[in-house]
Amino acid sequence: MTFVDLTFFVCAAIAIYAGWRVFRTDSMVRASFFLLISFIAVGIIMLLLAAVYLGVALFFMMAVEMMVMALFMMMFMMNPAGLNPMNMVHQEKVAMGIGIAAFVALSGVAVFGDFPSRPVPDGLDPVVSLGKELLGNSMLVFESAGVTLLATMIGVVAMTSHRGRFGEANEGSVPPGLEPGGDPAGKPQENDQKQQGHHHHH
Amino acid sequence: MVETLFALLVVLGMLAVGSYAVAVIDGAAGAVLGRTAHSNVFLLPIYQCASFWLVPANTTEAPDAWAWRLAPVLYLTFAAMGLALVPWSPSFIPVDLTTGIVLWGALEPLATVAIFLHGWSANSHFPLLGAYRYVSLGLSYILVSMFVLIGVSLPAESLQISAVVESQRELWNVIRQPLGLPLFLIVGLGISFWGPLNFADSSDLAEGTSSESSGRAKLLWQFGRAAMLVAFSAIGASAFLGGWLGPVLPGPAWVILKTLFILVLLLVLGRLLPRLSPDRFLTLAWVLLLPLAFVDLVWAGVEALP
Amino acid sequence: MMGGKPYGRAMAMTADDLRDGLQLDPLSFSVGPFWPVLPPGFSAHVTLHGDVIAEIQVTSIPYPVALPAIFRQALEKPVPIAELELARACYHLRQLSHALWVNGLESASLTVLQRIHALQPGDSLAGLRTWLRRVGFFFSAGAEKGVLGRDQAEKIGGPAARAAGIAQDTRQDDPQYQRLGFQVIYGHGSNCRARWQQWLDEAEQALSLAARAREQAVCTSDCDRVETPRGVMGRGGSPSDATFVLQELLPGLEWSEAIATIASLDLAAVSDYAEEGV
Repeated sequence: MTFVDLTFFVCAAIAIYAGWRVFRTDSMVRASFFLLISFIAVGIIMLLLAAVYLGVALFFMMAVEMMVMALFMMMFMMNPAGLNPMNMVHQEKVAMGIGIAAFVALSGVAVFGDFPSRPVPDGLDPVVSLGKELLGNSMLVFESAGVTLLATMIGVVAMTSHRGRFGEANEGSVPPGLEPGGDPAGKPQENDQKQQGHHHHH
Repeated sequence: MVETLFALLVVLGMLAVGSYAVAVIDGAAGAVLGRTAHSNVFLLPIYQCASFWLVPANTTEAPDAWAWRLAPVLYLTFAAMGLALVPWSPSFIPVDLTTGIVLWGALEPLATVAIFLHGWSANSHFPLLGAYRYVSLGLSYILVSMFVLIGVSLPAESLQISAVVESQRELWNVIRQPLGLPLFLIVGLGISFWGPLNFADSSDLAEGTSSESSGRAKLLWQFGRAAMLVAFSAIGASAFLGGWLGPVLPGPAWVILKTLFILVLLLVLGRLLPRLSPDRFLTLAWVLLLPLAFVDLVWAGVEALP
Repeated sequence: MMGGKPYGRAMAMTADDLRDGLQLDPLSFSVGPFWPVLPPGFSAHVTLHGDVIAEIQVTSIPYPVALPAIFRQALEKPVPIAELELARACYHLRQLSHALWVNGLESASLTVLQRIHALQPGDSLAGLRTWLRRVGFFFSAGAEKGVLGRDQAEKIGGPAARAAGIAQDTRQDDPQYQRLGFQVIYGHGSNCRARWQQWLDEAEQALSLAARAREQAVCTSDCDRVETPRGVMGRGGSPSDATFVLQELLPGLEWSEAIATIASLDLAAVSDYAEEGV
């Protein structure tokens, strides 16, 4: 077993273990960072596959993404500090079924598939060839996707901005009702008995 | 094998010597700017280390113990990885990745995660506030840093740090892209939360993310911050001040001199300037620094046109 | 489940935000009384929305502050103005050094503390002022925040009131001070910057008054009232605590601005006992 093989097995084990922990942990922040660990392990495997740029790019993409995700979940969801136990899963039976089916299918492809044996030619520079691909034949696809994403981001920021063109963005706004035409949701209930059933976990 | 071992030793040595240098320079800057040096500036860091070492470790109620202990280690590891990317001479580069610049760019967000974890895992309000604050600012640091680094890799036509150094043989990037180094220095102060940009561990939050840690955990955290500052200076020296290039002296000597220059600049700035409010700095970062980074990138692109 | 104190730790629960109606998590906790950034003895219960103070309730007011003995002696007999004004300058500079430390200027703060020990009548603070202006202290955290209303400023009294443009100073009624050419210094803006500058201005004025008073060996003539660095103290009473102003002043401020605001105000009552000599 070479060093590369050993690294692969260790990283693969870490990726799977951390991926499993995402669903077993009881905090949003921990879940996000277990997912990050899983992705980093996959990134190292990509480095082993000589996809140098993609592997390293995975590190920073996922680091920022998971950080933002953890933060937003803490800001918007219950259990903000994330250190108190909470139930992290719902509809788990369906999800488990789909997960197992997907795993079996993909593993089947990996094990029984007939992959061509084409060693990377000597002197291939993956970063240069990736750059040529991105800014060559596939330029139109990537650039339109990029510009669309950028336009979306600017649009979202403009729409959620506090200072709107016609005054304060939240002026006179009320949350939508739970049923069509109903009272705005989220208003504190004066009658205590109506509060039953509010204490569900999420 | 011998070469790998030697490279490892150099990186570890740089960690230790660099952090010591940070403590000495910072102490000297403090003494010059008005703090009485009670003892020798050279011995003081060692005394401080010893006192941190002997102080018992603190704990809080129900912390995330793993993350709390691991965060300083992770932060230090990221600093060490950054130092490993620094090319010392054309023939001696501990880790010569073709995507060195991108890996450095990845270390910054990963460090953000480590800083956040350090504050979050203590399960206490001041560390949590420091962590929140850092993340809200960290995104702007990362963006500025990435644009500036893409700027230096344009004339080199490579993402390899040694190629970036080699591309400065005729003209250093600090002159070719005058906006680059100042922006990079600001990011450096931000990522190691030093001086005016010390928002995560600031005095108004009772030392923020590290307010609940003490003893060896705190020592490790401070060590990591100093090491990150050294790594930043060394990468800055390679990306903007021509790294090993220079007359008479051998390459590694130039790297050390240039790194020390940036380090002194950062530490003196850190001592001199007061802290802005995070809110105001955030506005400044998005409204002024980010557009300046764009200008830097356009400048680099136009300049790199054949 | 949200809110409450599971495991003895405060846990946040979403509530309306001060700024944009987006429901975020308020975080409630207590600060003080042992935190050196706050006045000794001061503790409060704070509710934060993110980094912004939504509510602050003072749970314990700071300990009364002991002034140098000279201010109490001034109520008993005429005292040398030189000594009185030097003590005033030291007091203001000590406040300023704390504000510098809070805003991350540790070195400058220590420099000011060192100056206090060797302060002499007639010393100029122009160098310090230029230094602080050049490094941007007057634009640091909270500089434009913590604006006091006129009522609040009057209630606090002393330099905080004068920084709000209220030209009130007992010294102007004292003929001896008038002989020395005393003019009330007052600022405008009533924000942290105005108060920092007020301390600096008054300290500088006190030093020059002290120099002139020492030459002419002038003593105070009014023994009924004395202008302490904290406000007017008379035989009837001394400046009382004004900490509750913070409950109106701080909500809406970002944390570091709130801390800078607290550091820019001297709110503790004046103790009946004088500071003991070192």
